[in-house]
Amino acid sequence: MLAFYVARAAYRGFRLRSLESLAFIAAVIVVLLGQVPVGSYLSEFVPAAKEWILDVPSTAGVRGIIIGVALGTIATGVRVLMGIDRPYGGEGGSSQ
Amino acid sequence: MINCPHCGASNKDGSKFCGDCGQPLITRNGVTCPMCDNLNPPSVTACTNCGARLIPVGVTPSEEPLELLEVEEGAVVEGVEGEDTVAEPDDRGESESLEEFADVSEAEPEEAMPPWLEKLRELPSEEAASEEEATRLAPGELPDWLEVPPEFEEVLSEAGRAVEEEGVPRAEIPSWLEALRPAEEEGVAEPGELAGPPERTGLLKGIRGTLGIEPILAIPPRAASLPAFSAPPHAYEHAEVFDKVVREPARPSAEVVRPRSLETLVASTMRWIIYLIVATAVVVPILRGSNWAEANMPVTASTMAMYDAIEDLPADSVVLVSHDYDPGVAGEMIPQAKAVVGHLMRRQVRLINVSLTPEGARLSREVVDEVAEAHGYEYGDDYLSLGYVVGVEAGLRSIVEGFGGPGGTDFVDRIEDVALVVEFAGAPEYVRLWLEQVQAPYGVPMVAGVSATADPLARPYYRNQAQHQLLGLMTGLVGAAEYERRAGHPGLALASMDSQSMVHIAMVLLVLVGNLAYLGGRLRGK
Amino acid sequence: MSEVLTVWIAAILTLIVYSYLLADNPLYRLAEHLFVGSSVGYAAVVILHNILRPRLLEPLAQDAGVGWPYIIPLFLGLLLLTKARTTIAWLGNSSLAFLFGVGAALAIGGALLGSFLPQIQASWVSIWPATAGSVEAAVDNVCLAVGTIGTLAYFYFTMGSGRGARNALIRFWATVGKWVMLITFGAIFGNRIMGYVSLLIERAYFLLGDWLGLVG
Repeated sequence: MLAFYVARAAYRGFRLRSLESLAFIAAVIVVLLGQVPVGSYLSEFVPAAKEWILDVPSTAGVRGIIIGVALGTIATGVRVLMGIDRPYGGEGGSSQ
Repeated sequence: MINCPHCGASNKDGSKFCGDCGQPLITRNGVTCPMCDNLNPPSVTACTNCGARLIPVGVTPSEEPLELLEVEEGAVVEGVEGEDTVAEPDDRGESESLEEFADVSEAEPEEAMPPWLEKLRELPSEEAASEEEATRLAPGELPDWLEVPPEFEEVLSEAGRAVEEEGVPRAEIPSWLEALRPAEEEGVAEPGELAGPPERTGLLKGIRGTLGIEPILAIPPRAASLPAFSAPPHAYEHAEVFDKVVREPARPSAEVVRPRSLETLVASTMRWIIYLIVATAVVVPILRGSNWAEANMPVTASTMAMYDAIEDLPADSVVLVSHDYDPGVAGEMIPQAKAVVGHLMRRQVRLINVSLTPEGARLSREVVDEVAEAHGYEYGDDYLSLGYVVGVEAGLRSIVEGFGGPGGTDFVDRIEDVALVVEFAGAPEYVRLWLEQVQAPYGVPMVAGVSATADPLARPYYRNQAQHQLLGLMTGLVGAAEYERRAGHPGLALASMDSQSMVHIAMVLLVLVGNLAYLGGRLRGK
Repeated sequence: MSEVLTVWIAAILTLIVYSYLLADNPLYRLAEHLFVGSSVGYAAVVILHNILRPRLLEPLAQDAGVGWPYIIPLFLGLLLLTKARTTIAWLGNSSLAFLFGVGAALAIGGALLGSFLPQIQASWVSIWPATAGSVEAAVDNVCLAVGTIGTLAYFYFTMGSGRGARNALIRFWATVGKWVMLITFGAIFGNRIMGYVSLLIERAYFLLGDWLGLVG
């Protein structure tokens, strides 16, 4: 059912308001066309572009996110183990 | 703890502003101005540096210390006189735009003025009645420190001469702007004549040369007198244009003319058209049974890598397969599982199935049993299902480390003996879980099939050139179709690719058409 | 026979869920509640039969000499039930502390060794064409490194707002990161659309094939 809502959102919401939205929409279109055989039928450039987008900028962005999330997990874990944060109720042990 | 003098809330020591009402806290040293950070003595109401109010407006002026009203600017003081000294307006041009405002304020009976306002009116006249003090300035006179130093007089007069020589026509200055001209410029006019009529109502009664209501909007409260006003000639032109624009009556907006019902009708029709387009794009290829995509399906490198990793498995090795999906993404994952498990069974490897979701165990049992029957696999000898593993990280570790123990199986003694971990992840956290808890500590080779949503979040693990994390990656139903194509055993996934292609084209066209409509509307609007 | 029944029930429920496209209606609410209830019920049954029985109750049922260590998790688990009432909720704190402690320890180790270090290593790849294998690979590696640093800089909020070489540098990298993330989110969204479409197609195959039999 979400496919219907996404289609409607694609028609109404993906407006080319700025250069940033152009980058976003271009990425969406290239990925959509590149993932299916139609993309390679249109042009051999399309699946290659999709591969590049998924392998380079997308990977770089998600890699940054993964590193950030890992750092956050480590920091939160250390805080829990040191007793500064007690997520299960009760006050933190080392509060001021 | 400091208690806020305005609202009474307690604040930490050293706070400059109250955490509840935001007003400056009066510390022992005085009040800090919120605008310029200047430290003022505790008793002042306006900052001595920039003039900003230090006491909230909610405080009635009767509570305010009135010392600061001995202002130096004669212009303000002069105007606030009694009713009988107000001259009748000569022309009503100034007042026309103020009529609305005048109507509103004239509604208030002037006799019922609040006492603090009465005090305000009395005070300056008291001042006027008292003998002249040396510090009082004549009307329009600037204090010493604001006068133009002699060395700049030359520069200014030169600039004025240059303007005249160029023959720049003198701009028509509106009356309200003229009134701001400093009185010392001789030959222009008496301030009283061109300043326009004095205000007849309200607080500014009797004052001449006030600005119209519209430009007042952004004037900050300043107690200091106006500095010498000089501006380049083009500024006067701009000011005139601004004045014209501001005084013009507002034109009715064009959009109001179109009836609303038509818009909503178009919008709701569009909604159904879009739904119909998507439904058609899905259903028609299915009913037609077209298999154009089957013949033309390209296989991506990541899926190929996964296929090769499984293809290279020696027969009789043990593979740990994890089905971590729920019914929500089963539509993508079950074709993947069917394709891969079929391949594994063709390679004659032994399977241990687990699941990190409750439904996954059941869903996978159906898939695996069905495929096993086709390949002659026996449960217990050739494949096992350990069921649902609960406990996120801890549960996973316990299963993995319990292989050799009493609760384990006889397929393997330890996790390191497992030849490959095949992970079907409906959500990205499952891939991360397996990578962090099993692949990294024990170094077991791993491949993953993920749902389409999870693919970008799992890809950096596949694209790790420095270290093997994921040897192969399969994405969604499309990945399952690629796998079926590569393996040479077409199934449901490959048959779905025509519908998938059609809907993708429809989506892209919707985006483009939507943008054309939007841009067209914007161009028309211009 | 039962297969036909289950298919019909599933098909009718599917159509009821799709009726939400028309409008929110009581049948849809019914289907929604059925789904939530059955998921929870199924999970409870699976936990009872697959987890509790073989891993806790059966070992406990053995003679006391072998099974006594399992008293501890049973006790901790029962303490955890006290969380339902706020007055005695404090009793469950030790169980939760144990769970959180173990979870935090595993999470730290996993995040460090499984995500953080390998991903940083992955970014530390050669940008020299000879070592990278080809010019395209070298360019890709440069883009990867630049993109990763930019993304990390984009989330750096604790810089000052003033001028200065350091802030300008961070702002430059944050702008790079912004563009990389735009493309990243575009790719994520494109994949997400693909996923939703795949699920719709699978449902269509079920309705047209398994239920109506129009497709072989």
